[in-house]
Amino acid sequence: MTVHVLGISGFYHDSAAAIVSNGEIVAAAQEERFSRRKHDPRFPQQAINYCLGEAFIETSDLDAVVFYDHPLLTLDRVIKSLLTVAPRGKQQWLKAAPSVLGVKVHVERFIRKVLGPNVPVMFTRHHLAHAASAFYPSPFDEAAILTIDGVGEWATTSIAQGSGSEIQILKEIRYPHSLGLLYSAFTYFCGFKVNSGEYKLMGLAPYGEPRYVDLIEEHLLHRKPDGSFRLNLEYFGYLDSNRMTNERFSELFGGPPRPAESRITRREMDLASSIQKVTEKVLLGLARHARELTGKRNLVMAGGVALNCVANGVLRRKKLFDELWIQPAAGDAGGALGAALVASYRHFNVPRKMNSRGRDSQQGSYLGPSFSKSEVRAFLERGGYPYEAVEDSQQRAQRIAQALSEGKVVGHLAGRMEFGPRSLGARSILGDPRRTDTQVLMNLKIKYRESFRPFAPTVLAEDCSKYFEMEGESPYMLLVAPVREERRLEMDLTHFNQGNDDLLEVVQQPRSDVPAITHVDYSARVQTILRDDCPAYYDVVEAFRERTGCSAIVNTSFNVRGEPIVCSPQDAYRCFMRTEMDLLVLEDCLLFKKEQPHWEEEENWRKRYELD
Amino acid sequence: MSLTDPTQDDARLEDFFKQQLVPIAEKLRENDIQLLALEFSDNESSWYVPYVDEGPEVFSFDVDQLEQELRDLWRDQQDAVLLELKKSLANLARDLYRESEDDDDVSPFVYVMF
Repeated sequence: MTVHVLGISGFYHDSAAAIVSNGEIVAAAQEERFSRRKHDPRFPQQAINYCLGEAFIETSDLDAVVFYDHPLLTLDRVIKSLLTVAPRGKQQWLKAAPSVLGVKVHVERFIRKVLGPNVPVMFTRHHLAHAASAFYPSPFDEAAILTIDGVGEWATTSIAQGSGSEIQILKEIRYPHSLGLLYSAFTYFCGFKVNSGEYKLMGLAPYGEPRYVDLIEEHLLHRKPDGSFRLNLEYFGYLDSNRMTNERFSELFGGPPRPAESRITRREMDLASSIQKVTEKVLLGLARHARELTGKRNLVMAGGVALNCVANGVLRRKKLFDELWIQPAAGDAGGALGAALVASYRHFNVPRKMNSRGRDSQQGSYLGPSFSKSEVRAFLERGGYPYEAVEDSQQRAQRIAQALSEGKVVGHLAGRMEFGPRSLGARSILGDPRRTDTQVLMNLKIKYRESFRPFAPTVLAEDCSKYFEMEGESPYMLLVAPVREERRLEMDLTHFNQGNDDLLEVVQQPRSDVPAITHVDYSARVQTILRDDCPAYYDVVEAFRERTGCSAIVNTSFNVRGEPIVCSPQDAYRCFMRTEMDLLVLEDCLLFKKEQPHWEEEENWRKRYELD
Repeated sequence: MSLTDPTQDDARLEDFFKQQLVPIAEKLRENDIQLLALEFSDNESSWYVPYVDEGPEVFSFDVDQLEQELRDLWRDQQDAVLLELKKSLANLARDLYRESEDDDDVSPFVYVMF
């Protein structure tokens, strides 16, 4: 008899659902992809419907629905935080109480209302869910486990070990001391949005110098030789106000926080660089201790901080562990998957499913909805959108590669949607990495986002070492590696070094023979691809290599700034028509922009997507 | 929507904060009881906390038993002073229950409260 477990995360950030049947991951998706509201925190009803449909089951077939967090312990933390700062903290209480007491402790009711009164509802703990999401799908029978995030119940960092079907949490660092919150505080201070701007801060770091590291280590963060740490809460606002940092923090770094969308100055670049360096040091300390504590040769990671792919790259190059595997949905969305896996393996005692070929069980993280050729064609016919069907996949790949080599920007929808924040070819915008204008064009005319932000490459796994100083695979774009020295071009940073903060001038300089995916510090956030992972996408990159001799292409998420990544052909077409993309690929159909009918919308869609 | 009037809810929450939380916070301070470890620098060799096995990895949680759950959680000596909050919190949870969630975005700056 099959054991079906539905995992759910939500009510704060990035709600999601995942279904696991007899230990096998069947489907997982974030609610935002369906609701079209970025980081949607609401009950993941549409994601649940999708998961049940993908598993071909009814709610009555579910053995359990498992929520990824313990509401009682979260309430305990909220009350104890308030008691620590009261009479300050009243505004926080008034804002949070309706959600914590009015919604979150009633999770079971929400679930039963949607899935029926008889569905078995269970709970697990936040960091255990993260640990499970990292360990069970990994290719390792045994591993050390590191989970690091803002906060979940009380824990902000956990060190655990996994063996077979068992996970044993060994040590924690507890709230309010949090590496995730420290990074978020700098994200806020540099004028980016907490919980989504962390990636921008990481992308900004290479423009700066780490000249604040000593200040941070002297005043904000104290570390012990075993890697444990505490924050000096006198500089942070999150305990007793509606701000991440306070006046003392501002005084330490020479003035108030940068207002959102204002010009980025050298201070923000240097702050970004500094907190990145500190994050790397803390991560290495934690990983070193995890190795000593567990004696395991492999490490797995999850939690929002595990999305810091620059730090992950440093960790891998240090070789503290033989192998490193990171859950691609490392943030709260992945908690849904972890919750379902914990219940499957620890409550229902399903034997652990491991990939028989020694690879992971995450299935390339292609765990979301797909759309058949007939569904795509029906949509295009109904809308009267001209398309050309190219059924032969090799021919189609050739056509796409040709467009890319001519400098065209391509929207690519193929197969199942990715689970996690990174697009891995199934819902991607693609470009030619060799062109110096690709980065600016794609940032400003396609993504409508800040010009300094770098783009990532997808590279054929077999050719990765020709481009990057990296051994092994990086299928989930979670590792940053240096571009090989012989490919680099010297940059003229005279103006920049003389104090000219114009990032565009830096961005427009060629930095290598693949400039669009080479960041200003000669690094790249690499996705390696094997044909088994996503054949349609692999074929495109391979065809591009055949045509141009270059084994890498630019791969960025298929969305505009503030918009969730596209899910359906409808979403993709809408995004295609709103931007200056040239070609749209919907499964086997090619749509050329110049052939499409005039696109008009009644509402100003840019107002719909709040800037992230 | 909350089942009760939102302005009344706010007033109740404010009353709870002023009349129950604040006095307990003062009592804790008078008795030098710290519920959060805030020290930045001390002589301890490590700031890891050993993981305490808190029961099964997968468990049930019934909001109708919230008062009992809080009693079980807080009955050790350090947290005993919190026990006088359990009934009020259970009542607030009962009365604040919403049949649907707010459409508002949660401010990212108070997300540690969630």
